[in-house]
Amino acid sequence: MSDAVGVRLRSRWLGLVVFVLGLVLIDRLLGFGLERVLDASTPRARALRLAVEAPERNYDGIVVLGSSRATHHFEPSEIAPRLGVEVVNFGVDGQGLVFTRLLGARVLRAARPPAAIVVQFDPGDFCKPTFDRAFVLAPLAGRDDLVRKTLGHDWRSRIKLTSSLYRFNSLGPSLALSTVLPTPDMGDGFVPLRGRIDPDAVVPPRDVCGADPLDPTLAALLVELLAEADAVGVRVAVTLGPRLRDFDGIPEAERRAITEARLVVERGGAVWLPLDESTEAGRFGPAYYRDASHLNEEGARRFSRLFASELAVRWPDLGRLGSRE
Amino acid sequence: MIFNSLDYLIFFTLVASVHFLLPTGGRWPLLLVASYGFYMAWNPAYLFLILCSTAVDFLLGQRMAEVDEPVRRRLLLFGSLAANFGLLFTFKYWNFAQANLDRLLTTLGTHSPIPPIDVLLPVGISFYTFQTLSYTIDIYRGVLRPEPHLGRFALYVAFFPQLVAGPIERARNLLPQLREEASFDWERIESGVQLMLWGLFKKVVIADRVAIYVDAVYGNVGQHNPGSYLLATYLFAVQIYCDFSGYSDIAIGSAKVLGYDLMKNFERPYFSKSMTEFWRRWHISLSTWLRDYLYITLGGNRYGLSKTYRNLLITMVLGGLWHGASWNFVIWGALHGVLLGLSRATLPARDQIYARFSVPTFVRDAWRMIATFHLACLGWIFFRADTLETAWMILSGILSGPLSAPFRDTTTLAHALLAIPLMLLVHVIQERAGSARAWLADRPVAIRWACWYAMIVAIALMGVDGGAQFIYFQF
Repeated sequence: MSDAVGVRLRSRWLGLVVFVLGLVLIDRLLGFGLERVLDASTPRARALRLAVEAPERNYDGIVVLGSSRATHHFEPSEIAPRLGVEVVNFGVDGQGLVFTRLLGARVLRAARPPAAIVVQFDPGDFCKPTFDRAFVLAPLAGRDDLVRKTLGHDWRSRIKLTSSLYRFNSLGPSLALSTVLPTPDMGDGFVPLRGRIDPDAVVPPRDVCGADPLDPTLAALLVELLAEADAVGVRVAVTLGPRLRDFDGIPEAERRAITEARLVVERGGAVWLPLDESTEAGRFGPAYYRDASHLNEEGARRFSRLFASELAVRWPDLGRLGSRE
Repeated sequence: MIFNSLDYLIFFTLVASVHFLLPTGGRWPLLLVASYGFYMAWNPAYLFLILCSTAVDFLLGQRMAEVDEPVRRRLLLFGSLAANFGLLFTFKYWNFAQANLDRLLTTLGTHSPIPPIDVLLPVGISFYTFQTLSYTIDIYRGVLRPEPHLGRFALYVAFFPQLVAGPIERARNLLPQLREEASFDWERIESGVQLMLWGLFKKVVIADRVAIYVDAVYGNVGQHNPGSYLLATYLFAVQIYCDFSGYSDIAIGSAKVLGYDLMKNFERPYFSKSMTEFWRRWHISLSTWLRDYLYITLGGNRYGLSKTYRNLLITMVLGGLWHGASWNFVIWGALHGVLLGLSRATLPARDQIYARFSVPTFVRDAWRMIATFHLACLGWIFFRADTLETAWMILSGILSGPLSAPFRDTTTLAHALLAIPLMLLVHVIQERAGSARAWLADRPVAIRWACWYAMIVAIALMGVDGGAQFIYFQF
C-alpha cells in the first residue's frame, strides 16, 4: 500500500469515527429535546398520555385496564352509579398484557391509588407477546425502571432502548402536534362504537394459543401486577368480556388458556369474573356487536350494567372503599 | 431474518467484515455458508429444495454443453424445466389447482380425486427457480458457458442479498463477478451502505407506515367509504413500490458492499408515461426475464399484431400467476396484458390527437403520467385485495362515488405526509441528475452529512418498529 493510499484510508476511518460520534451526539441531543417536549406538553397518543398522567392522578374508585375491548366495552356512567364509586376507563386500542402491566404499576404508584382495578384481557395475551406494541411507553424508559426492564426483555429491545431517539419512535409528529394544538379531553375514557355487524357475516375462528398456551413470562407480568396491587391494598378483578361467535362453544386450546389464566388470577388473590361468550352468548346477539370482537354502544351499555351487577355481588363494600379519604 | 431487523444488521456486518479479511479463495465458501444460514433462518428444511435445484441445473448445464445433438439438448433443457417448474408447482400451485379442479368437478356432481397438500410456501422459491432456469436456458441457447465450479454455481443460486426476493439475477452478470477478486473499495462500500440506508428508509418509514392505513381499509371492506378506498389504493401503490424497491435497494446495496453489482430492479416506475414504459421501470429483473424467456419464445412481435397482443396477454397472465396462486393475480396479470396491448394499439391515434390540438409537451407528459399511475392503481386493487369479491367491492365503491372524506388516521397520515414528498424530491433529482447519491456527493461535506444524519434520524424516529415482512417474500 502506497503512503498516499494509506493516508487516504486513515482519513476515511477517521471520518467514519467522527460520523458515528456525531450520530451519538445527535441521538442524545434530540432525545433530550424530546424528553423536554414530553414534560412540557400533554401527549396526544392515548397510551403515552395515560402512562404519563397515571401516577399523578388521585383515584376514587375503579380503574379499568386492557385493550380495545376495555376501551369500547366499559362505560363508566353505567358502572359508577351501580357501585357507588367513580370509574375511569384506561383501555388502549391494540395493547395487551405487557402494556396493562406497565400502566397498572403506574396507577398503583399514585399518591391515592384506586380502590380496585379491573383487568380485561384476551386469551391470546398469554401466548402472543405484545412487547412491541407496549414500546409506545419507551419514552418513559429513562425515568421508570420497570418500563426499561420490561420493554428490554430481549437483547434487541435493550439495544433499541440505548438510543434516546429511538425511544420516541413513531411519536415524533404526535409530540410535535401536542406542542401547538390543544390535546382533547379524554373524559372518562370510554369510546363508544357505532354501527352493527352484518348478522350474516362469517366470523372465522380466532387463532389463539396452541398446545402450551401460557407463556410463563407473560403470566409472570400478571402475577407481579396482582402482587403489587395486593401490597398497596388495591383489589383486582379480571375478566374477558364477550365476543361474537358463529359456531358453538370455545375451541379447546382457547378454553385451556382461559382455565390456566383463571388459576393464575385466583392464586394471585384476584377475582375472576366469568363474563365471556361461554356465559353471555345468550345475552349478546349480533345486534349488540359492531364487529366480531367489539360490542357497539348499545352492547357496551348492556355489558357494563351486567359487569357492575356482578361486581356488586362480589364486592358489596366497594362504595365505602371508593369514597375513602 | 429480514433486512429491516437488527439480526440482519449484525449478520451482514459480520459477513462483510470476515469477507474482506479472507483471501479471495476463501470468500465464496464464506458467502455460500452465510447464504445457506440466511435461508435456514426461515425454514432449515427448505434448504433441501435449493440444493436440489442447484444440483439438477449444475449437472444438466454441464451435460448440455457436452452434447451437440439438438434433440438431446432439448431433452436436457426439458429436464431442467420439469425439475424447476415441478418444484414450483408442487409447493406453490398444487393447492390452487386442486381447489379449482375440485370446484369444477363439484359442479359436475363429483369431487377431485387429488388431495390438497399441507405445505408452507418456501420463501423465495419463485425467484431462485427463475434464476436457475435462466442459467440452463442461456446454455441451451448457446449464449452462456456452464460454470465449472459447483461451489460458485451454488453461490450464484443462493447469494443471500438477492436469494429471497431478487433481483432475479442473470448468470451472465453474476457468475463472472463471483470468479473475480472483489477488493476492499471504500467508495463502493460507502455507496452500498448509502443505498441500503435509502432502501431501509423507503421500507420502514414509508411502506410499513402507510401499510397501517391500507390494512385498516382493505382488511375491513364494507366498513369504509369510497374516499377511504381511493386513498388506501393510492397509498398501497406507494406501499408496494417502497416495500419492493426498498428491498431491492438493500439487496443491491448489500451486494455492492461485498463487491458485486446486481442489476437494477426499479427506475421510478410511477414517472412512466405509458404502461409499456411502466414495465420497463417496474420489477425490471422479472419483466426482462419474462420478455427474454417467454414473450420472445412465444414469437414476440414478429408474427403480426394479433399474435403480438396474444403473446403480451399470455406473458402477463403467466407473470401475474408467478406472483401467487390466486385468481386475483391472474386478473391483475391479464389486466396488464390488455393495458399493454391497448397502449400499443392506441398510441398512433393518441399522438394524432395531441398533435391536432397542439397540446404542449409538458401537459401531454403530465397527463400520460397521471393516467398511467391510475391504470397501475386499478391493477393494485386486485393485487392487494384478499379475494376477487373484495377487489370488486373496493372498485365498485370507488366508482359509485361521491368521494366522501376518507377516514382519518392522523398519526399514519402525518408520517406519510412528511416522508412521501421527501421520496418524491429524491426521485425528481434522480430523474434530472441520474443519481441522487452522485448529486449529493458534489455538495459540501456538511450538507452530505446532514442529509445522511437526517435519514438515520428519520428511520429511528419515524420508522415502524418491528415492521412487517417484505410483500414480495410471499412470492
